[in-house]
Amino acid sequence: MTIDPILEINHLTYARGERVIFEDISLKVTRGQIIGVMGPSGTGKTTLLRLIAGLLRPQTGSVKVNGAEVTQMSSRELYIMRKDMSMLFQSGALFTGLNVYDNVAFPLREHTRLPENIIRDIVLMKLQAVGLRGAAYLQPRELSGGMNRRVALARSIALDPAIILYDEPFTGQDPMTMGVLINLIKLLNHALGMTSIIVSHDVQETASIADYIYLLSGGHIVGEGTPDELFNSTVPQVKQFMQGLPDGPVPFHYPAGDYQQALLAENV
Amino acid sequence: MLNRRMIEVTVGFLMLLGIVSFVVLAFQVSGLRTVYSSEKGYQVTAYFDNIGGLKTKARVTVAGVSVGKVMSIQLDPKTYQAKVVLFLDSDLVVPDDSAASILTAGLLGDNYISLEPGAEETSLKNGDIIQETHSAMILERLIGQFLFNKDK
Amino acid sequence: MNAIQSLGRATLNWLETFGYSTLFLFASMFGRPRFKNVWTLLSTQFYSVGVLSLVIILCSGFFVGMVLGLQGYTTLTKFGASQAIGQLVALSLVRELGPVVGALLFAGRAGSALTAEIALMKTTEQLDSLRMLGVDPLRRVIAPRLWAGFIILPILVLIFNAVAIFGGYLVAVEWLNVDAGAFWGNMQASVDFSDDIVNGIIKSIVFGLLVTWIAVFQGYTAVPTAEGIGFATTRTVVYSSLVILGADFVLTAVMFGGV
Repeated sequence: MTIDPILEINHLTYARGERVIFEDISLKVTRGQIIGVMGPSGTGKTTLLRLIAGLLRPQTGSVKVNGAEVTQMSSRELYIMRKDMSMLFQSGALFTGLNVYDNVAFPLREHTRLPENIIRDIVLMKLQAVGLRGAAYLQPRELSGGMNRRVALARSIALDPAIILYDEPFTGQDPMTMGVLINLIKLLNHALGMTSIIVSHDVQETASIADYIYLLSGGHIVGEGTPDELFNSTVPQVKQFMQGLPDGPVPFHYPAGDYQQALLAENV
Repeated sequence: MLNRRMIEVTVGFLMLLGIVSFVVLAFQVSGLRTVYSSEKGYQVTAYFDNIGGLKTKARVTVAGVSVGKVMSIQLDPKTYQAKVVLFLDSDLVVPDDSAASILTAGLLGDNYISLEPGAEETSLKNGDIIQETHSAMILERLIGQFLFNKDK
Repeated sequence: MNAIQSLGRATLNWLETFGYSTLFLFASMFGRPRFKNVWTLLSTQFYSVGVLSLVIILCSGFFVGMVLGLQGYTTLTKFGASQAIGQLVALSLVRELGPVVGALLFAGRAGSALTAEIALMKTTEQLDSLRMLGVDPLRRVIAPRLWAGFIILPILVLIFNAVAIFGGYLVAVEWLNVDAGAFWGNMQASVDFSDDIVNGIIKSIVFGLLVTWIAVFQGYTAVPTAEGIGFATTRTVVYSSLVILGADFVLTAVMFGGV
């Protein structure tokens, strides 16, 4: 018996103007997994998340969430799909005019007709899950970066989505906050039966919780497998990325002319 | 910090200022008057040979005091005279042999109508026709007359 | 040949942007309203766009009126026509200065603030967040601001005119000893309600729509970086100013040119 993948991407190609961001990408995600999508900066990992969420439309290819084709959806259908899918943005993206409580309550007030006292219970529970119940009435600007992200996480799980997309959750965090986030992502995934897709270039952190990883570079998937498989891989691109080698298929030197000639040149 | 109440109070204040400004502009600045409402005045008609530059809404005065406005100007097809309908304040009482003249305000000003009270005891009523009218002074005619007289 | 090509390309780009911005305008203002707290959103915008602009409008109005009174008087006395100062001040303000200066000030203060706010929301991914949470940012964020600007500018211009005329009155009558009766009397005789005041209001409604449209559009299409926000804000002020002056010419020709 085959388990239907919750997310399936086939032959996806996306270009912005004349720049091809990626070509012919295919991947599968099963329910309950934590998937890592990693690669060097600028390879379009965030763009991939936006394509999955339907925020962008690809040139060719298909993105199927729970069997439904995202690329063909009307805004009504996207609205319904997004009740079950959350995205945690790189900057947290809390609404600056609202306090923490109102931010987390936002999706509940939008999508449900629950009375305020039930919403209150849910908001406090979600904040408790991320450890910030005490900060419920602070303004976003009074929070540190890590706390910001945790509140955004609480907001993302407010409606108990089936899929949650993380855009560079570990970037720029101190080790303790990173530890907290890693724990939370893993805990929430298992406790709430969610599927998580993490886009990141933090190798160690992602590898520590991901069940399966796709490596994206130069617009193609250059490697995939479990974290162990990738660490032991001998494919040069995979090896360079996973072990953080400064030089390899992605070169250290930006293309330039001959060094000796440049130094000896009379004119600048 | 902004709270609901302060926002609503200040927005209300802004709207109030706006309304007050509008009222000031309408009445104090443009002299909009309730003379426009038809209950509060009466109409009389006057025929002129030449109205010069008289326009509708021009003032009607008695002794220089504004007492009404010109409501409409039309050409009478039978007599080829200008039929001017005046709208006068309801509390204006003038004898019904009063004369209407078209004068100019200042040197380069607009034309207006001046009523000179006559001597009758009965007064003008709604729908009356003013018998004695003096047309506007046309500059070209004046010059022509002057030249003509000079030649004589 | 290259110059013509780039001109052609620039024109096509401009048309495309203009078309996009028109669709943007209609989608924001006339889509199905689905949000619940219309009044809360709208009144918050009235506050940030209107109330916060009040101080600059009052101060500027006052000074403009006073300067008009002063300058007008100096010139009119040369023709022995100082009695006409009332109508000079009132007509200049009501027909032209009120709507135009008011709109320029509005573009500088409220327009740039709107652009910066929206561009910042775009840069910090709040607009995308809204989409992910199933809310259309055009209806939730942009529309209230459009309606607020459209309604508030005429009100601000009315206030500007009233304050300015008062300033003119202070200078002419209290300071320069023009007769108060002549001041108001001549003014009332020359300012026509429907030709001057109403036309002035129509101008300010048109300007309000144009300035706010430009402001929110620049914010919405800003490059989502820190410097992108700065560029967008500058563009708002520059484009708004040009559009105001251009539209003013067209409107004046239509409204007053026939006179």
